[in-house]
Amino acid sequence: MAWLSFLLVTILWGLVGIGAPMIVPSSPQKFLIQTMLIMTAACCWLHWLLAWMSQLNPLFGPVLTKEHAEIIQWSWEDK
Amino acid sequence: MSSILRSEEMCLAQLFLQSDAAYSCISELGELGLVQFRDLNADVSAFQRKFVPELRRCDEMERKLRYLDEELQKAEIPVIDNNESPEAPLPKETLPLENDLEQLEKQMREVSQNQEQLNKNFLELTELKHVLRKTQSFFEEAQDFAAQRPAWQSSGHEEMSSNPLRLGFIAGVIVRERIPLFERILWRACRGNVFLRHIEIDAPLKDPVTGHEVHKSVFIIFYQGEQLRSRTKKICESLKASIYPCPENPQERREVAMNVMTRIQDLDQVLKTTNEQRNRILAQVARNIRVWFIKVRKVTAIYHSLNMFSVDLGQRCLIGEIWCPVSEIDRIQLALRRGTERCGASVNSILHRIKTNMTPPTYFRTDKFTTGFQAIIEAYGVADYREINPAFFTIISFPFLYGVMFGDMGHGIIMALVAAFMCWKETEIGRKKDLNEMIAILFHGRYIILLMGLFSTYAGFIYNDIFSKSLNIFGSYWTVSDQPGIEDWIKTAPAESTIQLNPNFTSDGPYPYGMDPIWQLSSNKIVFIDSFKMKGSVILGVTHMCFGLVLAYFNHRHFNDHVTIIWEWIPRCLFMGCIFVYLCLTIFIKWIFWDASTSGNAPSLLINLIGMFMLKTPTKEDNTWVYGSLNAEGEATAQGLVQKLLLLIAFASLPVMLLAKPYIKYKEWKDKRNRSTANFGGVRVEIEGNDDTEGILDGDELARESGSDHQPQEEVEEFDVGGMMILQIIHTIEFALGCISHTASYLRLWALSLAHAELSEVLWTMVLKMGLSMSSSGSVGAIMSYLVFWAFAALSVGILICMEGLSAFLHAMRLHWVEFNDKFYGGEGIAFKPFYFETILSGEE
Repeated sequence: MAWLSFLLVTILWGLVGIGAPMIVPSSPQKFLIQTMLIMTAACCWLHWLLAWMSQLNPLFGPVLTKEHAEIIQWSWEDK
Repeated sequence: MSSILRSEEMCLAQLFLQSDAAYSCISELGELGLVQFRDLNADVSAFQRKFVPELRRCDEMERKLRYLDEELQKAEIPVIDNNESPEAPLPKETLPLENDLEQLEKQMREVSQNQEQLNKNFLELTELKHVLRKTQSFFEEAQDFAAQRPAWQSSGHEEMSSNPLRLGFIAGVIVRERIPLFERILWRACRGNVFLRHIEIDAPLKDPVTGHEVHKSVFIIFYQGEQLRSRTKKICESLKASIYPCPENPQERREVAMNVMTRIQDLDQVLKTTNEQRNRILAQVARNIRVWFIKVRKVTAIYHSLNMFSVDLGQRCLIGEIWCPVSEIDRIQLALRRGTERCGASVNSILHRIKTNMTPPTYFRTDKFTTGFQAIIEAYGVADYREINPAFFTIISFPFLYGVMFGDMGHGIIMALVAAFMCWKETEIGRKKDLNEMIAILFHGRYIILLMGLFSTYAGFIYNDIFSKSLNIFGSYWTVSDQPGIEDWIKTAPAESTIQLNPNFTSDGPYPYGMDPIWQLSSNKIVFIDSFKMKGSVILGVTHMCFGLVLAYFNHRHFNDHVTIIWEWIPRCLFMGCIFVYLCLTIFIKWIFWDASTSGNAPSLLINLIGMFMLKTPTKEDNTWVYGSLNAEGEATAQGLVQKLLLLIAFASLPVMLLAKPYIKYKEWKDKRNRSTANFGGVRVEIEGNDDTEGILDGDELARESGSDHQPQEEVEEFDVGGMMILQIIHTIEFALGCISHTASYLRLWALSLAHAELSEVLWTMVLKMGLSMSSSGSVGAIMSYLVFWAFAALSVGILICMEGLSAFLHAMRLHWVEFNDKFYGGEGIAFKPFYFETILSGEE
């Protein structure tokens, strides 16, 4: 389940960073646009990866007040 | 390929221009804006050059134009801008222009002089009119006084009244502010023996010279005796009071007044016609002055350029040297041909590429999108010729790092919208000339701000922060109901108590995109988010620096510097990799292999790094065990071994960095010296290296040789071992210490994003939430929430977007200038300053 989101996001940014540069129409700015796409994909993917990895195996859980716990159960978990 | 990855390939060329055609050729080149002239007469003072008389005439014309422009501004007549951009007039066409200007100036000066004189007369007459009118009341008072006197002075003072004193008087006009001073001086100088009266003139009077409006007062001084008269007069003169003759007799006064009135009327008529004449001239000037200015400035620029040319002995030909991009030689040739044709010269101008060992200037062809990023980099230093341009990569990495520090969807979207508006309306805004300075700066960087806004929005999405609130798009991956015993706890626990969810039961893996929204509600949010942001900033920083090192490789390869690649670049990579990339690896290992069930022994990576430098074997008790197996004593021997090995490699690469390159360079130099001595039969021969005009080669021939080896004429220079060593020591120490301090420096990514998130949360809870919950129901509540919202909006924009945005901008800039550029960027190039009319006219010269 966890690895599904990894796969999907990686494919998404892979398309931006590898697929899109291949279909840039040729113009004097082609190389610039390709580099921008690749760098955007690399930066955004890396930033996402950091957030994803840090939640992969949490060492501790969130501390909730009783009020919040009840609201979460009622609103997010339909209880 | 016209990308800005590397600067344009430049070449030095010699230009042979026919004397007759030179002017129009330079004019064409100025319109093109692709060549930079070298000054061949650098040793000749500005006054001894060839085209000094022409330049003097241009200066004279410009002076006249400035005079006319001033007159226009004084008359508040707008200059008509019809967006014409005339070409520079040929020398023979400048003569009529010169004559026109001469005439206009003469006319203008005459008219102005007349007007000034007339105005002065007018002022005098008006003042006199006022004096006559106002003194009337003084005299009337005096008469009344005289009439009353006998009534209360009859007894005992008869001798005085029977023998009245002959009182003289002076009347005049003085500036109102001087009155107190005037009074005091008169009192002191005349010991209180004069009598001063003054009345303000209601309407302000116009100063004929400056045109300002001045408030004045009429005064009249009564005195007795010749001595006091001259003294008073002197005081009046020294205070610039104007004195007017004022007859004592009321009859005479009336006559004078009548006379003055008719004269004023006449003068008024004359002044009107003069003004009309003046306006006619100025209207003509306003129509043409812009075009004239352009023409004169172009001509001046052309002669300045021509002054850089050297003249051959026959005086028939001007020789100049230019820097120009290799790819544009055809267009330059074309422009030269056009110039020659325009003036009808028979002999074509010649452009010759010449070989040189001077460093060519750095020229980037930026457009409206890239120019802002190029400006950020050039504020640090102009790129060396043909080295990799960091601006090319800054376009993305700068807004990205900015976004990491400024991550908030709400603020990011506002920023992006503002910038998008400026980009959308750029032609309209760009045409305005009277932009506020602040707005002009923002407008100049509109594309940077747009990208910064977009990346901030993305980072905010990762942090799941929108005005310090979270979005629950994918549904939280934590389930409170799965916590064991939660039902009982909710039933029994007191209202204020808290519960910590156990990840083993309640966590369902990572939230698919960004931070789980449950953290926004938890009271230990900061502990968790900090751990992520801190580790993230180290990893982003090391990635950024490693990317810089990769670029350094391409730089060295481009300049064929194999020695540096092997003996400096590889050791640098090893040093970086063995310590800092390894640190990043341990972060990933901790994320992947440690979880809640083992959290009791989870390693502290910082302590492990310190232990690594102290050659300690990581143990379970010290919380330094990250990976590998443990032996019986609880020591991670494998990890310890790896760390010691890495440290050894890192420190072994330091002396290589320090010594290898200077040694190899020294050996190369020695070999070369031996060879060059051998070539000339054991006798060292000094070769006159004619530095820049070495040999004139044909363009094609040069392209084949491409300036790489020109061995026979190369001179073997002295080798400065000391200097080289010092440089190398500095570079090595800078790199080694830099790696450590720069990695720490990237922690600002964490610090700023934390500060931003906290500040926006404070703003939410302290202003909006408090305001909304305070407001009572009904109409008062409605008004309160309205006001509170605007306070929140103003603070959000003012503090969070503008101030925080500026600080994040500066930090992102620093990370690029210091931490990133340091790894590969020379930044000691010379900027290419083409001769271009457009830049000269816009005053950016």
